[in-house]
Amino acid sequence: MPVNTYEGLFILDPNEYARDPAAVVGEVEKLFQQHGAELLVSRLWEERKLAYPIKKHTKGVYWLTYFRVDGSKMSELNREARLNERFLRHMFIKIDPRIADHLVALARGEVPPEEAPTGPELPETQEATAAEEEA
Amino acid sequence: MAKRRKPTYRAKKKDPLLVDGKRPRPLYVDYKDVEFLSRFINRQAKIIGRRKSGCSAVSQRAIARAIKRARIMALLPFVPES
Repeated sequence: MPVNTYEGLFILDPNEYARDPAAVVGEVEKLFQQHGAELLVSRLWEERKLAYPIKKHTKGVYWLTYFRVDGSKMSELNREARLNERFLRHMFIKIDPRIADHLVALARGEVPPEEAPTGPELPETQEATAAEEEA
Repeated sequence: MAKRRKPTYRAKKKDPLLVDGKRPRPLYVDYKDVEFLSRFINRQAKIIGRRKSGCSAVSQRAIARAIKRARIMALLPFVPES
């Protein structure tokens, strides 16, 4: 199976995270290491109130990751993430290769966030503005 | 013969995902953008229809998918708090 870029968002147990952040984050990184995934970004996204309680927690720590891994490893990754009790929930999403670099840069904070709230800048739109200038 | 009601015309709503009048390709709606997505749910936390959102079929699907992902990650509610 081909190697793809994925986005992984984890909701970490807030109590465990408050007690020992390094240990919980280490758990996330260990998960990827074990499966030979190349971690591109791994950072705190937000600490926020959950829209509904999960395992009686009303708050969650959202940890955002981007990684590259062979597609055949995904089922195994999913399984292990679900078994880990320190993660309340997680979601892996395959990222279109055409916007992967952009999103990774965005997550690293290299691009100002207002530049791409919903979709990235694309050559098509640049052509459109060029045509307007000519008119 | 029954009286025919005068047709009323309403200005067509604009697709909220267009950038400079064009649809970005590949179209990607970030499910983490809660502020943007919350514009497409009503008070019962339901996804609002195309008639109201003004979306094209493609963008409506993309938004619906993003909302469903956001719900799974507890960013948006399945049911509103009482």
